[in-house]
Amino acid sequence: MTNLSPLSSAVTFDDLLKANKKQFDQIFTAQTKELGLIGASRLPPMSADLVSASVSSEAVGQPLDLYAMLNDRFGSRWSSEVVEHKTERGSVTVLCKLTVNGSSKMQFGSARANGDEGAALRRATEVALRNCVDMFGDNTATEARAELPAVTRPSVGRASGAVRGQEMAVPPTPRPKESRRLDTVSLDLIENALRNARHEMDAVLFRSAMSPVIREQHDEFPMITDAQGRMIVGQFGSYVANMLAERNFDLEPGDVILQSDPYKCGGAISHINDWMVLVPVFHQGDLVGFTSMFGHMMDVGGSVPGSMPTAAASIFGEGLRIPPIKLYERGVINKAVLDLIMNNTRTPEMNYSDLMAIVAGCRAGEKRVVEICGRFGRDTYRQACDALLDRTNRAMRKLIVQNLPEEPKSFEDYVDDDGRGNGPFKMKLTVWREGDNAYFDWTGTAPQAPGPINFYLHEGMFKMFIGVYMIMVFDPQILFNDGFYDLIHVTMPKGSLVQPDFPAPLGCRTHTLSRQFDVLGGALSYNAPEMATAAGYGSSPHFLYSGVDKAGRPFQLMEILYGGIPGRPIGDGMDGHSWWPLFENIPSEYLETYYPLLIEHYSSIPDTGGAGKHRGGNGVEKVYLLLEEGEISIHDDRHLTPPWGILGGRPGTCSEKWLVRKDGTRQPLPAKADNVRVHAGDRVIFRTAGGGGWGDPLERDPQRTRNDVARKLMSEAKARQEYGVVLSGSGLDVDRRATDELRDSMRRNRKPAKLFDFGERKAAPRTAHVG
Amino acid sequence: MTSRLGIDVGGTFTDLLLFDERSGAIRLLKTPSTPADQSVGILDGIQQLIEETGIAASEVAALLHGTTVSTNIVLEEKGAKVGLLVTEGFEQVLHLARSQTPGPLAGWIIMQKPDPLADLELTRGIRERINARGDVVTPLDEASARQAVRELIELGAESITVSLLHSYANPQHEQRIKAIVEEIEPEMPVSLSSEILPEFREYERTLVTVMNAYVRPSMRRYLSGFEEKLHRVQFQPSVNIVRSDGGLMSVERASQSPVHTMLSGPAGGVSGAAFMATLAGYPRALGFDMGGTSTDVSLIQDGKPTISRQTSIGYYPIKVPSVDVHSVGAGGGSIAHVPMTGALRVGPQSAGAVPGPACYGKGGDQPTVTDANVVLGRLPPQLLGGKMLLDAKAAEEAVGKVARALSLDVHQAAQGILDIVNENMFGALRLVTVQKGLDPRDFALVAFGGAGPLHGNAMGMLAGCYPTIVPPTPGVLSALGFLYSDVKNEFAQTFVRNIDDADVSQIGEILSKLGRDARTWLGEEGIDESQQRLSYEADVRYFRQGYEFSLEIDPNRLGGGALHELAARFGLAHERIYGFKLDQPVELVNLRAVGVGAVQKINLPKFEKEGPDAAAAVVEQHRAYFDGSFSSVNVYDRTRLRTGNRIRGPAIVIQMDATTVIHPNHTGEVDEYLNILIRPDQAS
Repeated sequence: MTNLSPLSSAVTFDDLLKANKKQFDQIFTAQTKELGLIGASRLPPMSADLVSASVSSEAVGQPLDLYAMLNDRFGSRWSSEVVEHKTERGSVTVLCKLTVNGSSKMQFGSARANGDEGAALRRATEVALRNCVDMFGDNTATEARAELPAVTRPSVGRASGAVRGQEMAVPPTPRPKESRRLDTVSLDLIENALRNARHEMDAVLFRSAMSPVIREQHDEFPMITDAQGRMIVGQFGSYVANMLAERNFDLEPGDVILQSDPYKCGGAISHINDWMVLVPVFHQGDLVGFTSMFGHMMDVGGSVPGSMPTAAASIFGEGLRIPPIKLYERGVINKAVLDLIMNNTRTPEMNYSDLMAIVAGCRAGEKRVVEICGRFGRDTYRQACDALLDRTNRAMRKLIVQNLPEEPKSFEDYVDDDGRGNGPFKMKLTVWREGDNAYFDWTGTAPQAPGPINFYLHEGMFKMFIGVYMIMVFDPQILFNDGFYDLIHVTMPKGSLVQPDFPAPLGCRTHTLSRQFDVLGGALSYNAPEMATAAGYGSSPHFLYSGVDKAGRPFQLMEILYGGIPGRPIGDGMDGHSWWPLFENIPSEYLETYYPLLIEHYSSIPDTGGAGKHRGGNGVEKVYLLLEEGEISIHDDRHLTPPWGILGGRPGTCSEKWLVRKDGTRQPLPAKADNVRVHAGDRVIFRTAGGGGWGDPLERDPQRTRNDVARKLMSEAKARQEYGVVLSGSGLDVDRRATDELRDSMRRNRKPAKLFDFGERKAAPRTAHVG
Repeated sequence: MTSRLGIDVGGTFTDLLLFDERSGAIRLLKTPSTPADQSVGILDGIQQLIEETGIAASEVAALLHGTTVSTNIVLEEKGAKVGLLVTEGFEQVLHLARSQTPGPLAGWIIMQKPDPLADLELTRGIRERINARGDVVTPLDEASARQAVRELIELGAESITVSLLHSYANPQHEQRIKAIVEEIEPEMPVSLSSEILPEFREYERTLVTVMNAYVRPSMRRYLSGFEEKLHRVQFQPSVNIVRSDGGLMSVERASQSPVHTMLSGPAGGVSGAAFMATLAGYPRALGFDMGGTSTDVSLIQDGKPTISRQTSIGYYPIKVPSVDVHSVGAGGGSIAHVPMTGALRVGPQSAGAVPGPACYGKGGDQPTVTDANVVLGRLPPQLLGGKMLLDAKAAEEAVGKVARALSLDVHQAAQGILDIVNENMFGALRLVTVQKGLDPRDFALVAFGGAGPLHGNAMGMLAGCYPTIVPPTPGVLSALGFLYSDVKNEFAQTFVRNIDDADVSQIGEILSKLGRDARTWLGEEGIDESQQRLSYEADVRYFRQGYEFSLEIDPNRLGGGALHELAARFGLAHERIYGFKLDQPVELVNLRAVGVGAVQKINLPKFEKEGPDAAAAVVEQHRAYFDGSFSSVNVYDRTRLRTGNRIRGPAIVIQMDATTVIHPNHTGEVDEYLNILIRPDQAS
């Protein structure tokens, strides 16, 4: 070993000190608490406690001995890292991780500074590492030695930012410095190159896709995986293994696999509109990974245009299902299969060009991965994939320890109905952690629905949702891949809403998908509610209108509406915005140009956002005046169970839909309805739900409440009743004194707020038969 | 009257470039920008130029000004109080926007959405309705309009904008409301969406109209102040303001439609790059403009910059013609850091001008890309003609922090920082080409901006773009580009029709009206009729597609199947750009006249070819790090390089506004316009 005392040369104390201090404080508190070093307090521990509770630094031998001992015991199979450190009243405490043969132990160590913090940091590190060694016991050492390989350990390594002198330990001779530098930087270069490759996949797809759903709304998802199918970059993860398990393909260069059956990939795609393409990537004959994308097809057959019938009783009623098949075999397209598929959609031309665009996108990714292998070397590329996964793994361990409860905590919410008159359907998620492993259990969730709201949740997909959500809430800087999957353990009862049995219908699963996020957010919020958000409009409101116009031309409109975004730690929820990223509304001028209708009103509905220090966003109201006879379909939810508020925030208002006949008769429409007959002059009023509020409404800046009223986003009555804000005069000036008095009396007379406010569940309305 | 002066006001520096048309001499001056009033910095610069050159104020015939005034007003939310009148039921058009939240999944949690530029409190719905065909469905309720106007004035609106549904198809109601405002308050400025952007999609049209009104008062104040200051120093050139699409317009025009100046600066740079690339014989090129905080990449084809009709300023999408640039948050000031995952990251945080890179010695202690260049000897500490000495020791200390966190030596870390930032910018180069179905290796690369020439050769190596062209004034190319611009404006009208149903005579009428508008405009800009050029375009797409692109159309040859010929051309273009064409009806979306007034151009002097030996330009030797070790490399003075000189890499070329690095196994050749063309040795 050339560098036996890495701390002295590699990292200064100041550098470590500047690491994310806030984060350290949190993890430090959590860890010390876990180790029983301090009580239930969230305050930083007293240094005296720590010193007395850990091995005394005086007992430590010479540093050289420690590293020599590590080499002696574990050969090249160990690496170490200072995960965090802290200095407090003259003592330095560190949390160290020692990894041997891929398994890790973490321990604290502490030392008095006596004026030299650098030296104390070194000593504390040694204490911690020795503690880790003790935890491994003797067996590991034997195993490690037994496995001591002839090949040198690759040095791509984990760039840990802390102690890393040893992690690339390479007997018998140290690698030259030059190549080590290359390796560290190569890792970052490869990461950037992969990220660029992923964007290039998108660019190629957008360039050649035809349907507006993909091209404009970006309903598509790219990824690049390693040879085991673990996602390295992308948005959605880890279905490759399931997909390949289904059919034992011999993979060869030039193969392209296509599939669209949720039941044949463990739910990796969750309805049959999504077509998924998988391309194995070979570099000089060796499989180095996969590129994959899936995109939403306009129509895949079945009983209604768009292929998402609200009344489907089984997946057979929804349209064409494609099992995993080779669309291309060694570069040759299977024309017969393509013809068969295209014969089963109402939009063959669009599907064809979208499918080819997806294949082109995957191929672009393939090309780039091969290029990267050529540029950096195939082995380096493979090692880089491992290292990238490991980076995210480590970041996620911290998030888990910081943010998840050790006691199981459950959260429940409801999907209101299934489109076939059944409901509500409970979704229940229980979350806890054991050490730095997290457990998510859907036990208690309702049995599968007879109607098509079942959301066949793929385990990998759910882990990805958890990861994205936690990263967005707690630390948006972390990069995102499959590296943390082994830290998360998921239980999904078979035959339930999230794991339905074949052939349950799946077409309208977006409501359940959306509710899943509400439940996940709720379940994750117990430990740090101030970082959590309330619930949103919680569905994917669709309006469909089809028929034949006066000129004899058929028309078919599908529009997605939006609603109230939840109140958030950084501010109010947006009014009438999309919770799904990058989706856009359709301009009214566009709608009126192409479809026989007039939009009479399109704005957010005052008072529908739940009150809060940061209020929930308002739902929107859109009024369609229909100019031709035809049929409409409606998909929505949150018409019975309001979106909940958090930390004193109030729930948002439920959604509702009305059909107003030309003669003025007004009838409620169900949340999910297909093929409702309409006539020229009829109106549809579509009102989506508001978002829940965040925090105590009485703490909202009165001026902001005043602005809401002046901007007609809130009524004066609501400002007074829920925010205690009294306005006066035509200028709606805040009457400060009256406001203070009113707020005081409201505070005195109210019950203490619970963490969540679920509001009142509405009774199912008696919807008249329409159509 | 023989000199032309280009002025580009950037965030840190104001660049002035004075071109003497008789001698072909170019003089550069960089002076600190004065954000509070940009004209103060400009006047300082002009004074300095007069002192240094002894040029008489009367000799400057034209002044071309790129400005960031309007952009800053929007980004800093310091615009006017705008009142907005819309169709009843659509009051929240700006508030709801396009309902979009950013990616990835759950991106809404951290979205920051600014309040609308026209406050909802100052927005009123008017009872009226026009449909997509331009037919009146509900007549204008004038009483409610009057009432609304009075309310807005009472509430303190400084200007009023009107944006009614489908006004592009029938502007009558908007025009009537304008008359009503003028009856009530003759002094009140009124903007109509049917005049500012007569195109469909109500959010975008309303936004551009409101944004224009929002920045107009400040822009007008700025420009009149600027002209007044010029007069005070007896400066009376014709003043033109640079538009986002690289065209020019008069001060008066710019006061009226400042929304067209949002990307004024980048437009000049790309125009300049296109100009120099064409002179060098490479009309297909990628513009690579690397500055302090960001890098703008652009695509040049047929010697022309690509124009886009949709760009964005901060949160806001704006539909005005602009030079199409793709920006990445990577520049000389980008900060390298090692986050908790232990990765080496560069940017997007930037040290900016203050405190700046550590080597500037202004208090910055974070390692930046510039510091990495100093550590590797790529950027000699004493810049020729520069007044600033770079602090190499501070640079090493800063980069050392990253080096320690990565267990690397300081030079390896510096090399790593450069490699990462280059990779990020390479991604942008690939994207602008791949998106359009092009291969970057078919393009030359023009490296400019303060840091472009330092990284240009490395980018050429990554992207296979050769030659890498370093123009003679890479640090002030925007100001040069201004000198090469024409007066230009577009007049468009939405006209959505299936090509099979379209009435040719109606199209002809619209085009000739748009053409008249363009001629009138050019006339008002003082362009002689003989110098006016008009071209016409139609935006075309497949029926109901959400996107369209522009094809040229000849208004004099509309009969006899011309529209079907247009549809066929569209199919071909679609296939070329998107990879497929469809058997679907084709429809017109917008018709447009583009008016160009040719301005007298600068003629860059051409130099006689001299020998390949560049030894006379060597000013010193400097130790620089390439491929893992230091060696002594020649440092050349750019001003002493002559046409035909060949510079073997590794080499460094210094000049006042930028430093060029030529890598080992590459050779730079000076062409007759004094561009340096860098090529790999095996290819030369």
